[in-house]
Amino acid sequence: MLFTLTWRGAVGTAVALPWLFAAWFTPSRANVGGRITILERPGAKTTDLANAVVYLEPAGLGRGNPAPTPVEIVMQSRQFIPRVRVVTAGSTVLFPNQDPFRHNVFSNTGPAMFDLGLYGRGDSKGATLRKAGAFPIFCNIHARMSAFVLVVPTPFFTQANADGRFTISGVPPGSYTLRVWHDRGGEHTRPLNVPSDGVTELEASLDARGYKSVQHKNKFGQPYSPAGRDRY
Amino acid sequence: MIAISGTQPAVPQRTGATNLPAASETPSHSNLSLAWKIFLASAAVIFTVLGGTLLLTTLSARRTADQGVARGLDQTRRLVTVLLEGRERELASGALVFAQGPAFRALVIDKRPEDLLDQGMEAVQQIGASWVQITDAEGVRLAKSDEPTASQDTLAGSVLIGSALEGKVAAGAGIAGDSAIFQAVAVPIPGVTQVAGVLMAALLIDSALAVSIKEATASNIIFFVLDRDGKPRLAASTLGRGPAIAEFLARHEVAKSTEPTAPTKVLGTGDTARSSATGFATRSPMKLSLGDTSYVGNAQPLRSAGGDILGGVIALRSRDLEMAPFVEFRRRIFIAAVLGMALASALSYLLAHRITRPIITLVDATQRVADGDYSAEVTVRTRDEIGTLASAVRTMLMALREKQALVDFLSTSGVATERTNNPPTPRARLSSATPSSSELLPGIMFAGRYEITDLLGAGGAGVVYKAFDQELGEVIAIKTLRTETMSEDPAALERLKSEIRLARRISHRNVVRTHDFGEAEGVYFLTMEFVAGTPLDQLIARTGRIPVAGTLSIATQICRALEVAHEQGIIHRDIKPQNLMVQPDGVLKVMDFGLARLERRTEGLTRVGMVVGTLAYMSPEQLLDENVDARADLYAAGVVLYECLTGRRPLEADSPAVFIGKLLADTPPSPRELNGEVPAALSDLIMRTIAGDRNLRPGSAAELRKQLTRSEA
Repeated sequence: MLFTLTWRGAVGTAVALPWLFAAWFTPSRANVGGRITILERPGAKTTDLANAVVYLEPAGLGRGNPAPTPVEIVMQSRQFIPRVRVVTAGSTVLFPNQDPFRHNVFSNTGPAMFDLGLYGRGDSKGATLRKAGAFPIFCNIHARMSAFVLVVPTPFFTQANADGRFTISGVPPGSYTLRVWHDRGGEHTRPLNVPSDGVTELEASLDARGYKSVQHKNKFGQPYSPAGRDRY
Repeated sequence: MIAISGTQPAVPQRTGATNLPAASETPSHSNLSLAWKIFLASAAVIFTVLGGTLLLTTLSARRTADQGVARGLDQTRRLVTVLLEGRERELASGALVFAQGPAFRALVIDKRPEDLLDQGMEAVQQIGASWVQITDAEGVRLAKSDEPTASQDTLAGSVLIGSALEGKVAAGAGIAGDSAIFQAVAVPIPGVTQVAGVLMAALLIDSALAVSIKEATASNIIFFVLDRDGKPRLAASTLGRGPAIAEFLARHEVAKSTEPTAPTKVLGTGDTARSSATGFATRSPMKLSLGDTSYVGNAQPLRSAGGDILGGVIALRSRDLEMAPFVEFRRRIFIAAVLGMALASALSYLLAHRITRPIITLVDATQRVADGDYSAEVTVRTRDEIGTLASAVRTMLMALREKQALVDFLSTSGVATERTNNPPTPRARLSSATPSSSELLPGIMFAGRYEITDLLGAGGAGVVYKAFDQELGEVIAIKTLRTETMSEDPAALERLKSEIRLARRISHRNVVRTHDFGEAEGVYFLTMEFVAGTPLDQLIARTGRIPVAGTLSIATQICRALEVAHEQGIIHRDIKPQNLMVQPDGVLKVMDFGLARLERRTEGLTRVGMVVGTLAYMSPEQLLDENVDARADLYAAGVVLYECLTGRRPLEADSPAVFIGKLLADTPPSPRELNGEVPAALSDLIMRTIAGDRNLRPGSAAELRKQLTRSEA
């Protein structure tokens, strides 16, 4: 045991040394990691933790325009896959149609309004999103299709994995605002001071207990079913 | 006493083993029949009541069950109608909403099959249909949700699509394949100015629907389609798909008649084609047997939008199930009834036997008596009427036995053959007695009507003759008062008159009947019944003693006579063997109430200190001339019985003085000491009866008789 410790210590030292050396000469970068949980109604289980987005907004100075991050949201089997995408402002999101019929992707939300029109299988159209915000994306033909593109003003962002774990790497130490977003759980915000050795085991909890699904309108701002079938 | 029947020889005391069963067979036959009669009667009543109850309740339950079935079927029919209409309406409203979606309408106008196929599937989901199809404005199929490769047929010819192309919402049943039936609605898809196409939605009528109807109504449901030949084929059912169902459907072939008048079924137009579903003819109530259950059903048609009957729905209910609670109830009633019946039968059987057994015993006993056999034992010991009857029979049997014994005794002792009447005092003795002027001689006509035929003897106060009453043509006895007695005793006449007045009150077979009193030729006389018998004293003198049974018969008969006399207030005062005549048939007659007095002494008739009667039979109180009562007669009877059993009197003495001395001083030996055959109880009873203290004696003749019976038993 003693030998083992010693040996491991030696290896650790050997590995750490060049890294420390590098850190000495370059601005240090840290990792911010943790876990997201969502409070659900009694009896419900969270299955969509991967839809959670985590990002760090630098406090005060240092706000710049991060580089665009082009992404795709595929339309397949009357679904947007993946359902949530996070991009930096100015990025273009592509919507390739892989269904044997036509879709009509649009967004009705303020700064991100777009309508890609009907297009069929194999075609792909994109929309550039310039303002930060969370923008719902729909198909004008298929009422149940919906996706979210989260446009963030920072390069330090990530999406949680299915367990809710996340890691944002390459974060310069400093003061940040930690923002956690989930389509059902809303937003969680807290100040976060990132030390040089990073932050691990962050715990962020969102509350989805008050979430209520609301049928969205079509691109004309009308219900998909004009007669308005009441649902009780 | 001995009944002689023609078929059964009257053999008294038969011991033949062959006869006894015969005697007991007849009663035992009647035993069974009487017991069985009671038993069967009660069983019949129980059966009738229970059977009637069960029958009536079964009939009424069956009627109720039939009504329940009919009601249930009717309710099911209505519910099925409502349910199918509801489904149709929901389907139609869903289709209408979907057809008005602008994106959908745009796609229909575009007529791209892949988009419309997608929209079809979308519609299936949104409407909740089994499948949908979309046509263009000409009725040409553009897409069918469950059949991506469906060809572009023209569907405008169908009433359903045609109506929708005209802008109406149409509904009706449809057939898919050869055994699937569905409900369908077709709605127009609004175009810019006119109808852009038709959206038709279909909802399959499947087992799940049948099951849900069954859950709501408890009726079993069969959906069927009519094939091209009009033969019903099973579409969906709550009873499985067994061959019995197919056979049942085949039996109820329904003509696939198109009613030309049936209007196109258009939703929401108050169409009546559907509600006239009862017109769907089932020739008779449908009947289906599945396993142990038989069902009754009715059917209603499912029509296409054009009014054609494409199939139907049959509701089936089981009367057995409807009856089940009652059947269970009836089963319990039946079990209870069977138990009750068994119990009642057992009870009635026991009761019948309890009632009849003593009767049988009595019947047996009387039957044997009729056959001359008095040996039957009556062992019935109940307190009811039968017990009373039994004890009467027992007493009768006892008396018969005793009298029979007496008769037997008489016949063996040779006395019975004699034709004696009254104390046959030898003529010599009579002659040697004080000669009297009043003595009558045989052959004389006395009192103008009585021909004296014989001198029978001399009584206490007179002479007795046998005479023939020429007036009545009857043999009688005449007793005269001796003239000298009359002269010596002036009270004798009065006493005689008194005697007749009293004696005439008594009429009993054990008492010699007194007829009349009269006077002729200066002679006072009394006529009475002539008795052909032997005086008991002679009987004793001849045989020494009388057997116990005979004595008991004598005792019983004396008691009967005394009972009657005492009841009239008459005390004999002179009971002694000479006054007791035994007829050859065993009947004993007490005679000579010559010294009888009213219980209340009549002053002047009996002189003070005068002792009448024979000394040995006189109770001490009578000897002392105390106020004599009935118990004095009992004393005398006791002495007589003592003498019968032992052949001697309790006290023997040569002179009255010695006798009285002994009476006051000695206690006589008990009869049992002198005769070992005398039962102890009888011996004791006799000793008590001759007790000096009358309070120790039985209180009355009846009491004595009762004790005699008891001492014997």
